[in-house]
Formats: sequence, structure tokens, C-alpha cells
Amino acid sequence: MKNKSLLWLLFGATGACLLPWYALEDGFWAFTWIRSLSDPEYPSALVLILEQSHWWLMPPLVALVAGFIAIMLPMGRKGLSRMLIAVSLLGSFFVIVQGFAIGLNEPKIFLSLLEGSSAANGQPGLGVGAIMLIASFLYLLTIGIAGLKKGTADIFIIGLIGTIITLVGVFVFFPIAHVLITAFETADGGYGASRFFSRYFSGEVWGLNCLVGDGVCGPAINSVFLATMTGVGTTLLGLTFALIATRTRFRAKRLLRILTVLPIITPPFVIGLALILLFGRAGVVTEWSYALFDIEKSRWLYGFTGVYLSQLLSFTPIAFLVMIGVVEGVSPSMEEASQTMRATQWQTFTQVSLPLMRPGLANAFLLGFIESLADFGNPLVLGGDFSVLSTEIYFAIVGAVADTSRAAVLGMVLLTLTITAFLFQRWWLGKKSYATVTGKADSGQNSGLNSGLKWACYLVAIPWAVFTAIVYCMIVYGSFVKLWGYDNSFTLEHYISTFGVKTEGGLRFVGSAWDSYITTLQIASIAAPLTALLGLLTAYVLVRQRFAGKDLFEFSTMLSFAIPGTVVGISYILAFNVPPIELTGTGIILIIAFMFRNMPVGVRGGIAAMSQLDKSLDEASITLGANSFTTLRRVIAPLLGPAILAALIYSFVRAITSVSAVIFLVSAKHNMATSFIVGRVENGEFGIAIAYSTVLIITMLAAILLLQLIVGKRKLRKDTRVQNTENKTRLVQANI
Amino acid sequence: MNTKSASVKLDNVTKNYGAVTAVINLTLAIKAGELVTLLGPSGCGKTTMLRMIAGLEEVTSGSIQFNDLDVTDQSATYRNVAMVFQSYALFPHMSVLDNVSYGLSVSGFEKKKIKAKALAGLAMVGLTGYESRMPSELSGGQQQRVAVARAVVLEPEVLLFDEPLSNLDAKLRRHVREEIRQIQQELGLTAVYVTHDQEEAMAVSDKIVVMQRGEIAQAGSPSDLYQSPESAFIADFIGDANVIPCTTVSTDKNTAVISVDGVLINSTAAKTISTPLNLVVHPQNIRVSNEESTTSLAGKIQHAAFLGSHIEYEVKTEVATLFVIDNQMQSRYQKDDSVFAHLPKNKTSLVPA
Ligand SMILES: Nc1ncnc2c1ncn2[C@@H]1O[C@H](COP(=O)(O)OP(=O)(O)O)[C@@H](O)[C@H]1O
Ligand SMILES: [Mg+2]
Repeated sequence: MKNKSLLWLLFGATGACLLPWYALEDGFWAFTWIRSLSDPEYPSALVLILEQSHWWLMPPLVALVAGFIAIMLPMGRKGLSRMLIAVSLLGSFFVIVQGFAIGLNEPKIFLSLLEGSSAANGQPGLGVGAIMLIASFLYLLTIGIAGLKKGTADIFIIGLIGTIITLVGVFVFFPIAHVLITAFETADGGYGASRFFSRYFSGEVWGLNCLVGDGVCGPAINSVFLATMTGVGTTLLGLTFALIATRTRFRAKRLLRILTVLPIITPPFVIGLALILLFGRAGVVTEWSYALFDIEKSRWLYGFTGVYLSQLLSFTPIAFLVMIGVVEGVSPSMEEASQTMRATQWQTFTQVSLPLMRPGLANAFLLGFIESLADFGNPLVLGGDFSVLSTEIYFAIVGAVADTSRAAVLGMVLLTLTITAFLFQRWWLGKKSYATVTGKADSGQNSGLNSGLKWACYLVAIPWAVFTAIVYCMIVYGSFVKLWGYDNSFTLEHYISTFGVKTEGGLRFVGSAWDSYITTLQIASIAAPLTALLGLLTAYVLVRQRFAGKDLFEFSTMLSFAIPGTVVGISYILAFNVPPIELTGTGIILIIAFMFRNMPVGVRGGIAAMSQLDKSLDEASITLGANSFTTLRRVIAPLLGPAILAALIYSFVRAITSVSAVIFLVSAKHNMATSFIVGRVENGEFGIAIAYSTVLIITMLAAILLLQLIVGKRKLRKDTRVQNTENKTRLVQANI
Repeated sequence: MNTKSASVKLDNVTKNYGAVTAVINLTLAIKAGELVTLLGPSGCGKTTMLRMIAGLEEVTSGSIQFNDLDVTDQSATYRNVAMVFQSYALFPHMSVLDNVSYGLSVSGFEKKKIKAKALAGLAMVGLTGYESRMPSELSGGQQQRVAVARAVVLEPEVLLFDEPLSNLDAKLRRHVREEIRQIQQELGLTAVYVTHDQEEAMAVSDKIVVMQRGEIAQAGSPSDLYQSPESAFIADFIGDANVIPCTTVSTDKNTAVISVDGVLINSTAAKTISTPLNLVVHPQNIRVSNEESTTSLAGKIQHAAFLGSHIEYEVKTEVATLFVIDNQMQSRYQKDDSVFAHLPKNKTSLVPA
């Protein structure tokens, strides 16, 4: 314990005395600071105190010194633990307070105390040195806590829990708190509730004029209406496909499975684009029906209809995956029991299977509901005058006058809706459902569908599948067409202008998309392993450890599932634009945004996979003398191969396809593919947008195959049928 | 192989899971090199106690000592224990050799030594030649032996078994338990063995600790427990004995004359001459016939089962329904036959009711 404490104290001391305290203009990774540690331009905390009289940095350093003294004193384990806890709590408190007290240009609080000091000039955000010091306090705290507990408490585990709590606190709760605070801002810069409530409940947001008068409804009403319709639609379509996949001898089941992968690797607005190519004013269908039936060309696609159609296309496959789990979760023995009691297939379906599926249906509905609320890409492309919350938030920020306060209020409205749905979903799932998968593979056959129902399913599903296929063909086809609807000749122009290379005078990437493409790949490949790691470690802690407040811990790690990307976007620009944490304009903010947005995927996948690993494997390792870290590395991680792969793929792909949060956080230096494409769409350059999207889809397919090769698949268990679907279901549920 | 077997002391150990108390004030001393079995019905706290010795569960109060050193605050990683799990818990992604080497390699032995020790361990359980197999390519009994080898090669201070045989079929169980006992004695290991099967416990143990609802009901050698149970629970649990209400007629130093429904018999004097009393009679010691005698109770056959080597009867009498095992099988009785059950003149003991 003393050794570990000393190590962390030295780590903190290095940060405080040798490394730059403030965030650097040219970034830490430029390593310019290394050449000039003594340079006053990159001062450490110690230098700042001694030479620039930043006396407010003293208290944390004093705490650090107290830590050194504490481990030198002859003290019992309990005493030392208490000292370490006190030292680290005080130390981090001082760091945080000074960070908030002194803003970029001037002090914010404690004005009289700081008056006349060098604080008057303000200070930049925290840098490497500060982060190391805070980390050192964090781990001293966890060492102290471990020391106070008896027996099985493990420094590694408590450190891990501490790390996750801190990260989630800083990158999920802190930004959301900022949105809340901004929403309460009054016109004169103060804070007050009355203005917030009047805006929160205003007719502009909740207006019902589309029902009673002849005006338009508020975005909140539109969002809820759309989400309800999408929830119902995707659930029914998903159920139809699931019934076909599991209860019939339909030949092309594999094709169905492929359809489920597509939306995962499709950037969210691409479906909207394809719909424009089909049904827009210059769309194929529009042209034909004009030519053949003289149906007038109109803009019917832009508005509720178009958004609804694209959301159905985008989210049905996910509902399908969820519903497969639900349908397979109905134990065959129950259906067999029903049939032995002389019930017909139809009676069995309506009176046994369907009631058993009811909780699953509700769950699928709520998922579709949340996804629709959070969806940004489709409404952006197809919304027209039909305004929904997610796009309104965006327009409040990028509009003629950026109105962060309005964006924050709208963000709160959206957040309220998604979190309500999320809580409802958890409450619903928390209730004991009778159709749970026991993990024990049930033998026997699910009963088939009666022929009426079967044909009804085929009648819905096959046209829909064909339609989906056409939509995807459009995407590829459209990228080779010169000017859709006007000049339909074949061209490679779009690919050349985006991904052209010149070979004269060395290889040069002259295409306009290269920059954002490479940035996207870089950021996605950094974010993916970090996300997977964070998610799986969280899952490990949740499944394998017992500690006070675990439920709350779980809830907060899953919460980011319910925070729509647009809200993440504004919350990050509100929270990380000013000291103490300045991240806007960097690539790091994108990586962090991806990590915490996609974390629930890894957590759910990890939980599902780890619950199937017998706990006695860990315990065997522990009793054989391994510590938790070794156990995690040598026993658990190798056995989680498929879950790791899934988490990696999901987080990689999500980082590439996501647009809602990204669009707020990109900068000239770090532009991302999706925001580049959205820019092209807004300029009406559909050809380029679609060509780029096609390249992205192919890139992701290639990456998935590559990852699969690298990580490899292990087959350890004989019967994983039920578990696998369960696994997928959970991944999908987190996949928003 | 020399071992570093430790003595184990449990001092007033209590374990609460919220409102549930799994183990209550348990005190027990285990000598080095001894195999002690924790025996008791399901849910009585055996596994919990074992896991506390391993360091996998924290004690709520009390202390645990190995070789008189307090290890209560040490986690499992740092206690020198090894455990054989009910499910074996072999690492499915490692070969047999890697499984057996695991504990050695995480404790930082050199590579050569690890391999030599692991091979010796495998040889001891008779699995030489199986090194490169994966656990899934072994039968249940072989997996069991790998689990034992993996635990034993660490030369633990204490070796723990949690129902190690429950996943084997009945025939194999008998064989493996003898193997385990042999290895334990050869190496002089201190072992704590959990089972709910009294026959298994009798076969392997130096000492049996019978637990009931988180407490020790009685501890002692197998023959002690069988011959002089201290409670009706032990009598029933250990020997399937009949526990018959009775009264004392007279006692002297060593023997007592007692009356079961007017039938007088001798018994070893009860340590506690409390009333009411129960007479403990093992089923093999009751004889069934259709002739009356001075020690017989009249009754009716309620159930009869022919099991090849013996017949089991349930005889309903005025005082109790008696369980009888007839090894002689000179005559056979059917359900509803009127018979006499003859209590033995001695070989009985008394327990408080
Ligand atoms: N992790 C736990 N949480 C709550 N109660 C538990 C836990 N483990 C065991 N128990 C309870 O403690 C009691 C003893 O359990 P256990 O030691 O497993 O019994 P045994 O191994 O003798 O069958 C039981 O009542 C059981 O329900
Ligand atoms: Mg048990």
C-alpha cells in the first residue's frame, strides 16, 4: 500500500513540478513543451507559483506534500488510509475550485479574494500537469478507500470504479449540467426559473396548431408524434420479419440477416438521400409516374412522410433483431404444451405466444421511440417544414443568430422525453417478464404459423425487403450518375472529385474528401478500442463486483444511451469551450464524445457475455494466487473474444456513421466524413454526398472483415443459440 | 513433495448477507494435515464458510487464522489456499498443462520449474500424456483430476473442496473420492471438504463438522458421530437413524434402563439426563419378524422395498414409524402385514428430544 501510494504521489509530483500545468495551444502531442520545460511559456504549477505568483495553485501542492509526509509517518493501515483520503479529497477540491474560480479572461467567483492578484488576467484550461495531479489524487483516494475496507477489497478494482465514476461524471453529467444551467439563463445574463419554464412550456415548442388551426405544430409535438408512429411501425415490421425468420421455412433467411447489418453501417442520412433519388422532385419514381400517369411532380417527400419513411427503413432492422430475441425467447415447450391441449396454431399464437411476447413488444416500441426522437440525419435531409426537436436544436446553434439558451431549452425538452422513455423502458424490463431466456437451451420446436398469418407476414415483409434493397441499390447507382434526373449519364466524376489522387510529382491526394476521410478513420480507430475498453471494464465491474451504490453506478453508465446526439453536441460545446476543461476544436473532444456515446454498447455486450462466464473461473484464478488484473487479462479477456470484437466493431462503425453530435464538434482542422457529407447535401451536391457515403459503407465493411480476421472467433460453448440472440439484442438496445 | 500445510483456526466467524445470516459464530480448529469435512443439508452455510476460508467472501465478524497468523484481512489472492470448485472451473481457453501451470506462473516461478512441477502434478493424478488436450476434450472425471492437480501443485497451506464430486456419476464418485483422500494423505495436506453426502463425508474425513442453519451441530470423527450423536438431527442426518420418544426408568454410571412404550431396554447412559428423551436406533439394528419378544413393538408394514442386497421396511408402530434395513432377508413381508419390530438390547444411544 505504501509503495503504491508513493508511486502515485511521485506521479502527481511529476505532473505538478515538471509538466505544463495549462492546456497548450499547439496540443500536448506536438511535444513542443518537452524541449523547453523551463520555458516560461509552458510553466509547471511549481514554476507558476514561484515565478508568476499563481498562489492559488499552492493548496493542491501542499496536499501532495502532506501525502508524502503521511506515508513517511509510522502509522497503521487504517490511519494511513484516512490520511490519504483526506489529502486526496482536499487536493482535488482545491484544483477544481481554482479551475472554476478563475476563467479564461478573469476571475469568476471569489472576486474580492482574487482582486489585484495575477488572477486578473485569467488562466487557460487545465493541461497535462494538472490532469496528472488530479489522477494522482484520484488513485490515492481509491488506495485509501481500499485500505479502509477489510478482506477482499482490491486496489485495482476500486481504482477502476473510481476511474469510471470520474470519467462518467466529467464527460456525461458535467456537460448535461451545463445544458441545464444554460437553459436557466435569463436574457440579462443572470439565472432564473420563470423564463426557463415559460420557454420550456411555450407554444412555440408544444404548439398544437396543426390539429386545431391551420398552422404548424411545435417541434416537441412533432417529435413525439413521429416517434410514436416510428415506434409502432418498426415494432410491427420487426415482428413480421422475426416471425418469418424463426417460425417459417422461408428460404432466404440469410438475406434477412444481411438486411439487419446494413443500417448499422449506413450513415443515418443516407437513406434519406436514397429516398430523394427515388421520390424527390427529380426522383426516378416521380419522373416515371409523371411520364406514365401524368401525376404532378411535388415535394410530398419533404416533411413528415419522408422522415417517417426513412426512419422506418433505418430502424426496422434493429427492431427485427430485438424481436428475434423476443420471439425465440418464447419457450417452445409452452407452445407444445398448448398444442397438446388441442389448441390450433392460431389459438396458440394469439393466446400463448403473443401474450408472452408482450413485454418484448413494448420494449421494441420504446427503443424505436427513443431512436426516432434522437434521430438527426433523416429529419435534417427530409424534414422540410416539419420541424423536430433534434434539428431545431441544431438550427438554434448554427442559425443566423446562435441562440445557445434556446438550444439548451430545446435540449432539455428532448432530454426529458428520451429519459422518460428510457426510464419507462427500464422499469418495464425490470418487471419480471415471464418469457425470459433462462440460458438453459430449451429443446423442442417452436410451433409454426398458421397459413393466414404466414401469408400476411410474407405480404408485408417481402415488398418491404425489396423496397429496402432498391433503396440501397439507389445509393450505389446514384453515385455514378452525373446529375440525377437531368443528366443520367454514367460518370466517375463524383469519385474523382472526392477521392482523386495525382501521381505526378509523387502521390498526392487531391480529392476534396481525403482530409475528412483520413481524420474520420484516425479518430474512429482511436475511439473504438478506448470505447470497447471502457465499456467492457464497466461491464466487468458491474457483473463481477459487489459494492455500495452499484445500481446507481449502472444507471449512470447506461444513461448516455438516453441522451440524444444533438444534446451531447450542445452540452459538449457548452461545457468544454471554456476553462477549466477546454477541448473544443480538438480531435480529443470527438474521441471523448464517441467514447461516452457508444459506451453503453460495450457495457451491454460485456454484461451479456460476462454473465455467461461462470464466476468460479475468476475465483479459481484468484485462489490460485492471481490478482484481479491478471485474472482480467489472462482469464476473462481471452474468453470475451467475440464480445470484444462486437464492441470494437460497433464503436468503430458508430464513430464513422454518427452525425448528430459530431456536427457540433467538428472544426476546420478536424472535420469528419459525415459533417462533410451533410455540407454537400446542404449545397445540393447529391452525387458527391452519395459517392462519399458509398465509400464509407465499403470502408466499414472492409474494417469489419479485417477486425474479424484479427480478433478471430473462438467457439467455446456448444450451444450458444439462445445466448447469441440475447447478446445481439442487448447490443442493439444500446445501439443508438 | 513436501508441503507447507497449515493449521486453521476459525474464531467466532459470522457471515451476514443483508438480513440473511449464513454462518453464525462458528468456531473450529483444524490441525495441519487433517481433512475436515463440512457436512450438512443444502443452504446450511457450508459453501459460505469455505469461501470465507478461501478469502472469496469477507467475514462479517470473527477471525480466521492460518498457522496462528491472522489472515482475516487478506484477500484470496494473497492467502496461500487453493480450491477445487464444484464446476471444476478449468479455464476453457487453456490446455491442461496451462491450466495446471497457471497458479505457478502467476506466482512468478521460473518457466522450467513450472513445467516440471505441473508435469509432476499431472502424473500424480494419472494424467500424464494429456498435457496438450483442451479441457473440453476430457471426460468429467479427468477434468476433475486436472482441477485437483491444478490446486495441489501450488502446495497450498490449505486445500479447499466445494462438493468436488457432485458432477460425477455415482460409480466414479466412489473412485475419485478415494483418490482425493490418498493424495491428501500422501502429501499431508490440510484440507477442508464440503459435501452434503454423509457417506462421502464418512469415507474421506478425519473429522466431520455437521452444520445446521449456519451453526455447528456436532463435530467429531466419523465413528463418534455415528455411534454417539448428540442430537436427533445428527442421528437422523448421519446414520438415517430412528429417533424414538422414550422415558428413563433407571440410570447408573454407564447404562440406563429406558422404556419405549412399556418395552424396557438398556442403553448407554445419556450424557444429559434430561427429559423428554429420544432413543436412537440405527435401521440395521432393528429386526422384523412375526413373533413377539420382550423388546418388540407391534406394528404394521407400511412400505417395503427390495433393493437387492437388502430390504427396506417402514413399520408403523404406536410410538413411531420405524425405518428398518433387513440384511438377512430370511423372510419377506408385504405391505399391511402385521409384524413385530425388535429393538436391540444395546447399540442404542440417547439424545435429548
Ligand atoms: N451471495 C449471497 N447473497 C445472499 N445470500 C446468500 C449468498 N450466498 C449464500 N447465501 C445464503 O446463505 C445461506 C448459506 O448458503 P451456502 O453457504 O451456499 O449453503 P450450502 O453451501 O451449505 O448449501 C443460504 O441461505 C443462502 O441463501
Ligand atoms: Mg454449497
